Amino acid sequence: MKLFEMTALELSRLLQKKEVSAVEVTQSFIERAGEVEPLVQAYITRTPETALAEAEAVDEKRKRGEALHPLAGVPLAVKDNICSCGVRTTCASRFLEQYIPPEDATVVQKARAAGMPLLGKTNLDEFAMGSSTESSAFFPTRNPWNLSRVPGGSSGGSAAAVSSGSAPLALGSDTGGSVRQPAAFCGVVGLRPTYGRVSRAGLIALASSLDQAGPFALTAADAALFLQLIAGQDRADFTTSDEAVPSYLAALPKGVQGLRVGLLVENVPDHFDAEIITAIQEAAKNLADNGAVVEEVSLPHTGASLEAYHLICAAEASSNLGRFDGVIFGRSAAGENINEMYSRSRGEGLGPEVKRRLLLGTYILCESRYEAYYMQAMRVRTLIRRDYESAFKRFDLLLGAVTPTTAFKLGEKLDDPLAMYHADICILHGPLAGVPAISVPYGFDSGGLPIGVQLTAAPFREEILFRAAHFLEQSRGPEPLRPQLSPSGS
Amino acid sequence: MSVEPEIEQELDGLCALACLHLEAAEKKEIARHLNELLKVLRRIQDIDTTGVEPTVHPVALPARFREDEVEASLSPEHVFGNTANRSDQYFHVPRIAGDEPEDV
Repeated sequence: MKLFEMTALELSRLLQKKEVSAVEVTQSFIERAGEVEPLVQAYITRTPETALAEAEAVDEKRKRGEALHPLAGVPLAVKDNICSCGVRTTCASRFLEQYIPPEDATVVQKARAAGMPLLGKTNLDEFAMGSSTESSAFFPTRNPWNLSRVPGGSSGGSAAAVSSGSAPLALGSDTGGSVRQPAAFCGVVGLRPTYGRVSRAGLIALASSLDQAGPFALTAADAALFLQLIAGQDRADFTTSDEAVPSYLAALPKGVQGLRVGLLVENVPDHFDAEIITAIQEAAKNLADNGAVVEEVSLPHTGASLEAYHLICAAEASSNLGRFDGVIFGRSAAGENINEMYSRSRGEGLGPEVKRRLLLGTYILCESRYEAYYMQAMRVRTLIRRDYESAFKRFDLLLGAVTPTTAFKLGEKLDDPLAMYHADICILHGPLAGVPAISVPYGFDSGGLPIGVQLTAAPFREEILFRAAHFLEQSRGPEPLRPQLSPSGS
Repeated sequence: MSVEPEIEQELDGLCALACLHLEAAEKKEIARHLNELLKVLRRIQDIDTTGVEPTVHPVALPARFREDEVEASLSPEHVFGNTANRSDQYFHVPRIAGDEPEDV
């Protein structure tokens, strides 16, 4: 097995035993990226020189006998809306095409401090607004399992990088499913942590009450190891929690005996792909056959999650993106006066989906509509949060779909924003309630595209997610984790 | 789907509030999409939320404070590193107020 085919945990063990060097590991992923990137286009910016220099530093420290983090020498790809000091961070927008952050995001700083070489910055929907990575201002990323399909979004580049073997781990961000949906489409594990579990400092904000950074990995164990590193309180983000970070890896072998699992009835309606419904039912049976207690559960108000999510997200985005005015950073257009300069800088630098959401947010925040739209959405958010609180009195875990379909075709929904929004219907309500959720690969459809199932837990109970996800991985059978990349895209 | 007049009539005002210049060709498409979206999003008003408090933040976290201590800040080179609008130690912008320079 080649190094780029290994999991992060396998690489970590080899590195700690000094059977491979960090430079060898990093070089393997750089070479793999050289082979697959012309097809997949997961990265906006690749940083091989930086990565190799960081890997060399790790090897030097190991030679000197310094104590190192288990992930030292395991390289990382980072979504390009997460700031990286000295490496341009574009948000896949023309507006920030040349932006070079002066500081690392806290999650990047933690990864670098642990000795994880930075392989590059991955593609996304512009400012993380989208579900297919097609609204990137630069180019679409392609799904490694079928190059004519989208990788999902908005963190499609990070999912495709892990899936195609050009990174063993990647960071994404999940505002309304942007880690879990691309993870499902690309056949990898994707975790949205509890709101407040991971610092948002340096994650360029889309919607501040919804955004969370989260890991992509080949396995639940890898995701657990990585979350262990990035979780915890951060004085640069006062919404991070001081709740203790447990040992996630230690929870993995516990199995599912005795776990109370709620099967979400709203998440498996008839219009979903039959093969996805079957996969969820098989996962439920598998859990039940191995000691979990599985019963149906309803979250009755989640039927309004599309409306509540998009109203709240647009309102917060229209405020957050006010900072992009062309003065201090970003694209700057000429203007006769300051307002014309702002307007033209934004008009030239931002893409159509971003403009739509900014105008939608502005529309609903007008004084005459504030109560009917924004406040109403926040009240519905309360009803959805109460649904979850009620469910978690009865259950440890909720099981449901990640997506109504497997990966759709490039261009299929590009001119139909509503159809694109509906692709996220199963993953919008979790963020409204702040709960953690994980997407786990669980089989393939008849076209060979991966299917993901979603597990959701109560706030700060990520260890239960990893425990059940690890069980499902171990039991799902010998499916290959790696796509056979083919330029035909058939 | 027909274009609802309200968005078309309001679009220029919304663009002014959002500080967002749209080309004429963009306006028609954006108005069409916004009208389609609003038709769906308005359904939220049908939900009975009488007596329900709004949720602003999903997880209840106490407000935290820290000592007001002086800490290291970015150097001017970092601060001005991403702008084309530098003028010495200032950001240079077009005229902000008034048609004529005011007497100081």
